[in-house]
This record gives sequence, structure tokens and C-alpha cells, in this order.
Amino acid sequence: MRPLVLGLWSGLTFQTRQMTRSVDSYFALVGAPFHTVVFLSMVLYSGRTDLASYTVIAPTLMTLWTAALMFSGEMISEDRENGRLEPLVASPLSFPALVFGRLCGAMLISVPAFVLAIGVAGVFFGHWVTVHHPVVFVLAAVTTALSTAATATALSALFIVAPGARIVQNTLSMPMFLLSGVMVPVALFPGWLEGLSRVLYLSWGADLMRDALAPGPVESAAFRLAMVVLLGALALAFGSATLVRFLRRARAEGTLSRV
Amino acid sequence: MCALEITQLRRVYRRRGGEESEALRGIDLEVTRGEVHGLLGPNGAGKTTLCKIISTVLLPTSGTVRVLGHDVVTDSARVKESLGIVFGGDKGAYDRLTARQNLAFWAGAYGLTGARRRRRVDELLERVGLKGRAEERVGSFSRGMKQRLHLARGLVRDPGVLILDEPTVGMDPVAAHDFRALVGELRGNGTTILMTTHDMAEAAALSDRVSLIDQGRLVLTESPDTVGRLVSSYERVDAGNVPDPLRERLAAMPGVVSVRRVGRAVTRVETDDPDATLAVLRELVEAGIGDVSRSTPDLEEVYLHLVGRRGMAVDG
Amino acid sequence: MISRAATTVRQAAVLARVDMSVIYTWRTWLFGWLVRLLCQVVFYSLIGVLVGDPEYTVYVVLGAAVLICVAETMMATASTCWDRHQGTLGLLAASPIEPGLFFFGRSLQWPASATVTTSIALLAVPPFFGVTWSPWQVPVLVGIAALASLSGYCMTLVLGSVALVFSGARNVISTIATLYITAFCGAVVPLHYWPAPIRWAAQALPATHALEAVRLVEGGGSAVQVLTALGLMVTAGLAWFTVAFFSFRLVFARARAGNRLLD
Repeated sequence: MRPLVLGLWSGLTFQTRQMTRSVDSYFALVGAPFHTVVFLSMVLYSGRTDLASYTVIAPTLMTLWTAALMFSGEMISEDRENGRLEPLVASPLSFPALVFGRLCGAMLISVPAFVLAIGVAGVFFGHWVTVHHPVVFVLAAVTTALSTAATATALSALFIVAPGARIVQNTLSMPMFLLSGVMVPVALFPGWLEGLSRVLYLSWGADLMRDALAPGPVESAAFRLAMVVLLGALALAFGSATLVRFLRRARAEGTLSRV
Repeated sequence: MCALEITQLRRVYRRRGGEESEALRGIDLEVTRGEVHGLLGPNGAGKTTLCKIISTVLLPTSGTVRVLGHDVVTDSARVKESLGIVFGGDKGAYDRLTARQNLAFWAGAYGLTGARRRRRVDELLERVGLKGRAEERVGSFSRGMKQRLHLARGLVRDPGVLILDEPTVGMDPVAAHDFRALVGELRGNGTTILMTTHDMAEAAALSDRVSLIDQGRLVLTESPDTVGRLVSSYERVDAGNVPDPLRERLAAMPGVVSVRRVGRAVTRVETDDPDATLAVLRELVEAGIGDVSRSTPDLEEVYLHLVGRRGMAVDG
Repeated sequence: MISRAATTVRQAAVLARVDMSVIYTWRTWLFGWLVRLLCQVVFYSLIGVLVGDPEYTVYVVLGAAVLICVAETMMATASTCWDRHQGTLGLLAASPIEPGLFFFGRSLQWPASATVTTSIALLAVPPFFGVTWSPWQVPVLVGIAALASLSGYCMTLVLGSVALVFSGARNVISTIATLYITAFCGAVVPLHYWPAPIRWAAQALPATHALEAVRLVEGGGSAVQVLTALGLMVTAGLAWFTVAFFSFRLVFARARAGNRLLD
């Protein structure tokens, strides 16, 4: 238990400290205000003010996923290239927990993204979004962020095991935005595609966050939250197992510090 | 006519916060056509700044530099055409291109086209010994191979003047030997070469004249023989467990430049005269000290002497 | 003079070709890059479906397809900075090469690839959203895609020259530029939706005129109208190229004054 807690805590504190210092970490934020402008102008131009709340959720989730891709692609390989992987593996903390902890820290970027999106919608378009179900909204946001970190852990494991996969790293953004319905609910998709989308934690998270902003009652919130958590947990389990296997093999082959 | 004419050259860098640092403080130097000129100096002496100004990538703060009569500031286009440059280190090649593609690119950049370019590239690959690896990506090359490629790149246009900035840094001995042979060959063809290095032996072996640069000033310009004599006239004696009264006696002897501790029990005596060295050795042996060795100083120490920062004090 | 310029561009284009072959295999290009771009077109188009207006959906799908060439040519912002990381910038500055021409050739892989991806996006995605192309429209659309990619590329070169100096901000620069164009060139909402200054600024963007041309082809505009839009686009592209040409010269001249760019 101790290595897990130690890893999580070290990762979280390291990443939050790192992010306050490095400008690069905020790169994923740049898109949030612009995406809000694009989406909101589209729904307002079409006279669908009822969809305005969608246009602040989508940029927030897009920032979250962009950050996940960015950090998961670089985190471990940077450690490896700079010779930090060996001392980390030699320390008493759990390495998968450290990676997950760091990625959880990175997910904090969604908070300023949400504030930016709300601000742009309010200041430039006079459209202030109301959160009608704050408790559900916060729970949905937190579980979605955690599941994103978990999925990013799985991705980082994948990227370190198969470095060639990093080439597709920046191509994974749009397909995910599309399939998980960050802007357009997957319920609008044809049946077979909706089924596929329901495997993605983000589709559940996005739906739930949108519903939490709407005035009507949120149906089966607990079940949907549980789906977000369950799908995230599966990703985390896969990621941890892959990382552990990678470390064991790298130690056996002496390639932990290979550049 | 001079191939390289440098007059009162100054370069000041302005750092953030308005702080200024003077990298070159009034350099005067003339290099005649066909001469191989070695520029010796420690790191940070201003060698690279000088090379950059000559190769038109950095502007002087004041003073002039002429390459084959063309001013590097007002006539940089002509200077570029007649200059070959090799900056040391292994950066500066396109890693994803093959050796041949790299050279073809640079030959194109210097205006060679078609069959002339192909011939020139072949010739250079052969000359620097990369013919067998010509179709491999440069990213997979060792440091020494990359440096050979840089050298070939510097020669794409058959330059009148060749600037070599620390060309042998990190080269293995075999590559460095080949490199020296190549410089000798170029000298035979009448190419003017300005070469910076901090390897005294290399400068002495290759150059017609050698200049010493320190803190942005030229300290002296002489033939390698003269510099060699200056160097060999300095000697040092290391001795173990020298008692303090003896150290003071040694320091007072004529011809002794400095006496200082270099290890826990080792005292180093530096002299500027072989007779003084003998006298020091005699004194040590007579005092019953058996652990004595004699050697010539390394370049760093020779600089200290030549640039006049002699440490006369007995420390410790 | 002209042959030397052509040699410079051709030589630099070798770098472009080799870089492209290292970055992508045909498989990763097809199943990674192209799929990502097509997803982007569908993503925006579905917002048209979401708001429930078929006519507007067609408007968005054409806009999103043309935006592909903006997204792809914007990669030149980063690839312009590669010379800085390779350590070749100083050697380029010391050579007689014309920097603007070199950098024009150096990232040509993006407009070349963008011509293909934009053509595919324009021809393949809109039919799913109710647009039908007749055979004569196909070569016209491919031609527009090629010119739009090249003109957009010229604009990106100006951004590249800025990114060369502030290379740490290269991704931020290209992201902001891409999203600005997405929002304000008339791709997703008509230009008249925006205040006048934004409409004026949009005239300088090649994408604005490319969109105009594509919408005219789809809506049955006359050849003169299409050619006028294309003429404006090419003019904008040439103007950007001229700016880039002198901007690169300026960057090199400033570097010579000693801002450590060439270290």
C-alpha cells in the first residue's frame, strides 16, 4: 500500500509544482477559448441557444484529452532520455502509481480551461452558463478527469512499449473527440456507432456533464458515474500491468536507461 | 595580397539586464594567401566569436574584417561565395538525409548544379573517406564521421579561405590523423586556412604561424617553432612531502616562477629556465626528498605564463 | 538568377521529401493522419446535424473540408524551426542561400500532402451530408485544393519566420493561427455574422477566398465568379510570400547582430 500512496502523492505534487513553473504545460489551454468561440458561434448563428451549455463542456473536455495525449506521449520517454528512469525504479515508490499521480496532476488543467470557456461565452457572447446540478457536475467532472488520467496512463504504457505508436499520438485527438461525443452527443449516432462509443469513458462523462448543466432532472446519475469510473479503472489496470511488465523486461535486458 | 585582414576588431555582447561583455577587444591580424594560421586559446577566449564574424554570421561592434579584399559587413555576399566554414562538434548536418544528400544540398546552396555538383560530391566523399557510407543516413553516423562530413561540406565550393573552428574536437586519433593529412593537402593546393584549436601540438604541426588569443586579445603571433621554444623553456618539478622552510627557499631561487601545493602532499615548482630546473632538482635531492618528477606544463599553464598572470606567491 | 532560385527551392525540397518519408509511412499517413483529418471534417459537420438544419450542414461540411488545408500547411510553422534544432541555421546564414527561398522549399511536403488530403475531404465527405458532385467539378475542386494549400502555406511561412525566433512558442503560434482561421474565415459561420474589423481581416486569409470558390462551385456560380475568388486567393498568397521573404531576411539580419539564434 505504501508504495502506491507514495507514488501517487509524489507524482501529484511533482506535476502540480512542475506545471506552475513551465509554460509548455499550458499549451493544451490555448484551444479552449477559440473552440468556445467556434462552437458557440455555430449554435447561436443557428438560433439554438438551448445548446449553448454544450459549447463550454466540449472545449473543457478537449483540453483534458489534448493534455492527456501530450503528457502521456512524453512523460516516460523524457524520464528515460534524461536518465531519471533508473533512480525512479530503484526508489520504493510504485512506478505506475507515480505515472498515474503525475497525470492526475496534469488534469488540473481542465479547471482553467472550464473557466476560460465560461468566460469567453459570457464576456464575448453575453451567454452566462448556469450549472443546474452542481453536485452531479462536480462529481462528473472529477471522475471524468480521473478516468482521463487513467486512460493516459494506459497510453503512456503503450507508447513506451511500442515507441512507433507515438507517431499516431497527435492523430488520436480528433477521432476521440468525434467518437466520444464531446460536442455532439453519441445518442445522435447510428446504433452501431453509438455502441462503439459507449466503450469510451469520455462519452459517459460528456453526457453527464451536459445533463448537469441542463435544467431538467439528471437520470440515473449514479449508474453513469459508475460507468465513467469503471471504464477508467479498466484502463488503469491495463496501463499498470503493461508498465510493470515493461519494467521487468527492461531490467532483464538492461535497457532501462537506453536513449 | 592578404587573404584575411582583421583591423581593430571588437565585439561586445549585451546580456539581459544591460550587462555587457567584451568578447573581442581590438584584434589585429593579417593572414597571407596560402597560409595556414593556427588560433590558439582557452575556452571563452573569443575564438568562436572571431570565426563567426569572419563567416558573416555575426556583426562586429567595431573594426573591419576583409576576406580576399571583401568586407564582411558591406560585401557579405562576395565573402560567402569565397569562404568555407567548418564549425566543430557534431551538430549542423541534416540527420535524416544521407551523407551524399547532405553534400548535394550544400553544393546546391553554393551554386553548383547538375553534373558538376555530382562530380564534386563524389570527389569529396572519396576525399574524406565516406564513400562507402555515402548512402546512409547521417543520424546513424559516429561523431568522427559527422565531423568528416562537416569538413567535406566546408570544401564544397573549393573555397579560397577555409575557417576551421575546433575541427578535431572529439575526433578519435585515427580520424584526427587523417584530418591533419587533409589539411596538409589543402595547404599544398594554396588554400588559406584559419584554424582554431586548443591543442598546441595540433597547431604546431599544421600551422605556418600561430596566434595566441586570450580574453579577446591577441597575445602574440609567432611561428610554431618560436611558440614551441617558449613552451619548452617552462618546466615544472613535482615533489612529495616538502617541508615549509624548503618551500620558501625554493621560491626565492632565481628562475623559479611559482611554488604551490597541487595535492595533499605534492608541491609543484615552476621555472622559466632549464638551469633553474636543475638547481631546484639538486636542492630537493640534497634535502633527502626522493619522490621527485619533472615534466613540461600543459597548455593551460603555458597560457598563464604567456599572458602574464604569473602566480609568484607561495601558497598553502 | 532564376535558375539559382529554383535550385535553392529544389534542394530544400529534398529535405521536405526526406522528412516526410521519416515522419510517415504510407500506412501511418493513410490510417493515422488522413483518418484524423477526416474525423475533423465529420466532427464539425455533425454540429450542423446537431442544430438540425440540412442547408447549414452543407455549409459547415464544405467549410470544414477546406479547413483541412489550413490545419496541414500550419505544420510548416514547426518544420521551419527544425533547422534551429539541427544546428544548421548558422551554416545557412553563412552560405549564399536566400533564406526565404530555402524555407519555401524546406516544408513543401505539407502543401503537397494538403492538396491530397483536402481533395479527399472535399470529394469524399460532403456526399454523406447531401452534396452531389458532378464529374466536371472533380478536377476543379482538386485545383482549388492545390492552390489553397500553396497560398495557405505562404501565409504559414510568415508565422514560421516568427516561430524561428520564438521557437519555444511554435506550437502555440500554429494552434492560435489555425483556430483563428477556423473561427473567422467564414468556414463555420458566414462572415457577415462577425463585426466589420474581423470581416476585413478575413480578406487577407487565403482560406476565405478558397471557401468562396468552393461554395461557388457547389452552388453553381459562374466561371468568372470562381476565377475571381481564386485570383484574390492567389494574390493573398503572393502577398504573404513577399512578407515571408523579407521576414526571413530580417530574422537572419537580426541574428547577425547577435541574438544567439545562430548558436
